[in-house]
Amino acid sequence: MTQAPLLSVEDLRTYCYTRAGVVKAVDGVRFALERGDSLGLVGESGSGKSMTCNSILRLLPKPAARTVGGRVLWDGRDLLTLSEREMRRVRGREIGMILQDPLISLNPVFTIANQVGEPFRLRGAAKGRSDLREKVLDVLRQVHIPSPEARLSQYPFEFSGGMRQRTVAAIALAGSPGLLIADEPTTSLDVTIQDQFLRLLRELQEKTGMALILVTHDLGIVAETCNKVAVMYAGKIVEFGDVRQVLTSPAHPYTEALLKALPVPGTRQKRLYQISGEPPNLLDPPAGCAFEPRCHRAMQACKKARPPIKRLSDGRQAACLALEAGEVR
Amino acid sequence: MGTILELRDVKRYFGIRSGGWVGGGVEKPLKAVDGASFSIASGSSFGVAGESGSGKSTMGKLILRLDRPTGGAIEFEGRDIGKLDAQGDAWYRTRVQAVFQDASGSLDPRMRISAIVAEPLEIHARTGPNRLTKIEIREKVEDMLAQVALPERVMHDFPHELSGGQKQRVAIARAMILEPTMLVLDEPVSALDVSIRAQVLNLLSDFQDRYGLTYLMISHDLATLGHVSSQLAVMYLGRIVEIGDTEEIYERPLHPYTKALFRAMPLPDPDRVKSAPSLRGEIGSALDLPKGCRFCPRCDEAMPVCSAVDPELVDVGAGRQVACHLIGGPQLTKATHQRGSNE
Repeated sequence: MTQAPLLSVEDLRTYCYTRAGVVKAVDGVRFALERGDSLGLVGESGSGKSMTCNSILRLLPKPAARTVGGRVLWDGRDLLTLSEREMRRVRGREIGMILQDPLISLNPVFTIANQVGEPFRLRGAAKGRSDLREKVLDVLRQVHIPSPEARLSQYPFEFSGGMRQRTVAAIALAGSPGLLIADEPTTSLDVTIQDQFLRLLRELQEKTGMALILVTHDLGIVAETCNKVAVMYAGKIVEFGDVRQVLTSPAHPYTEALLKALPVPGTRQKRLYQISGEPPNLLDPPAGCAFEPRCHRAMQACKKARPPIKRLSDGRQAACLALEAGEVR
Repeated sequence: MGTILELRDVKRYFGIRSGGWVGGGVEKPLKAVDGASFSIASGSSFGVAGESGSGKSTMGKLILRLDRPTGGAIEFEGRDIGKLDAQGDAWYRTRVQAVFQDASGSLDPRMRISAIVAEPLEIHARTGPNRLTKIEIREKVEDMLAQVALPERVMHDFPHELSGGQKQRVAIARAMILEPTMLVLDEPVSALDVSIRAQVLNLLSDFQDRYGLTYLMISHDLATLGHVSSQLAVMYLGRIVEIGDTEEIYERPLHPYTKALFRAMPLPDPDRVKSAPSLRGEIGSALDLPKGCRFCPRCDEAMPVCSAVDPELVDVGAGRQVACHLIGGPQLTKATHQRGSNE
């Protein structure tokens, strides 16, 4: 490799310390992103997708969760070793974030202009009030808020769900970040509004070349928005690769089962393929592969050893003993 | 198969006061459901699709008698459910049951699972000629929990000790314990993870096969509806804009809104090329309806007539009805639109 990737997450481990025991919420996650990449981070609730993002930005709930190991290399620095002061310069400016519920991200008692202008003011990026106003209008236009001039003095409650989420995106973009982390940004939106928002993300990416990490449980959203995908299960990435490869010929039995469990529109099947059981209790995970109890390809060996993530011949990575090294089904 | 449920021009308007001080102001009608007519065949699955604000959940509530229509009539098994006496009400509640999206919200956190599932029986079967003894109730509860594939030990648990999928199974068990003939399912799997969603949908389909149940499923998720329902109604701002056979609507959606919904639906197919943006703007307000067609302000194919005349649902053959000027109506039919330019 000639150049270091934009973001490189190495063996990231974040544990939650609860009264009932230690939960390995993120357990050895590893991936790398290039400029312009968009990575879909998929998995079921509790698989560790959000914890991975929060670990990168060091926004973990304290003191319950702690990153106990690994490195997050960004722009030549390990984010995990920065001081809180240095970290605050990274958040928002170098790495932006959008959360699931825009109402929680927006302050109900401040105007839109005030909130969208905040990142500019904090950085001292605006010369005077009229310049600030221009900058705010500019980002609001970028996210397609209709008649932004009239919207400046409004409050979040006057905005619809889709407009609120676009406002949050405007705030995240105000710092022109090199990476945007969006954690289930469209879960609270209707399909047509979701479609508009995902288009906006793609458009912004094309324009600015920023990288994107999109957390979602919807493989359809990944197919439409991302070029890479990481499938998480029980705190680990079980498959990582190019979206087309992974979605058209999944290597890991979990990815395969997830895709098969989706209802196919227009074809009324009698029964859906069903993954039996439920995700493991992370307080007491299985000794071997975490997916083994639900896996249709499980072998005796799967009960004993955790499968390491291996690079297959087509470049993607998967963690499954049923796959011989280098073999792609 | 006869008709089990029939809606005739059902309306639900809410009076909303706006402007002025307490008690003053002008009352405006919010037309949550504005003239819905359809019938559901006994033993079939009927899907209702739409975005938030389309009126689909209000319609579910009207059918469940949790709310009364302000116009029109709903007939269930030939009886007008707006004219039921106390006895009739009790009868209706044993025939029609509901499962909602948020199982945590619909299960009493202070009741044990066994008590939750037994409660309908306690209410409906402790008196009258078919009264059950405590032991019989217990047996029925155990049997029902087995049918929804919950281990017997959860009987003594509280809802918070169960996972989301298990809670939804409890909600289904509670709905099924009175052996109803129809279930109203309002977003029953939307809050569940993909792998659990398939389990619950399969469970519902097993129940339907076993007991010949009728389902009315309300959802924003066209993929789920397409899997479950045989008939589909698409709602927009209180109106049904397209209704017909599910498979045919999937194959050839006619209303521009239905087409847009399909375009917006994310599919796990990386090779699907997305053409034009699915839809501009947002769903309007049911308080301040646009003149003419309600979908007109967002419609790419709108014509002058669309902003003047509200289109009626017209029969287009094969049991399909569409409310759009492009299809029948005052303007001549444009053949090109009939061919479904979706995808």
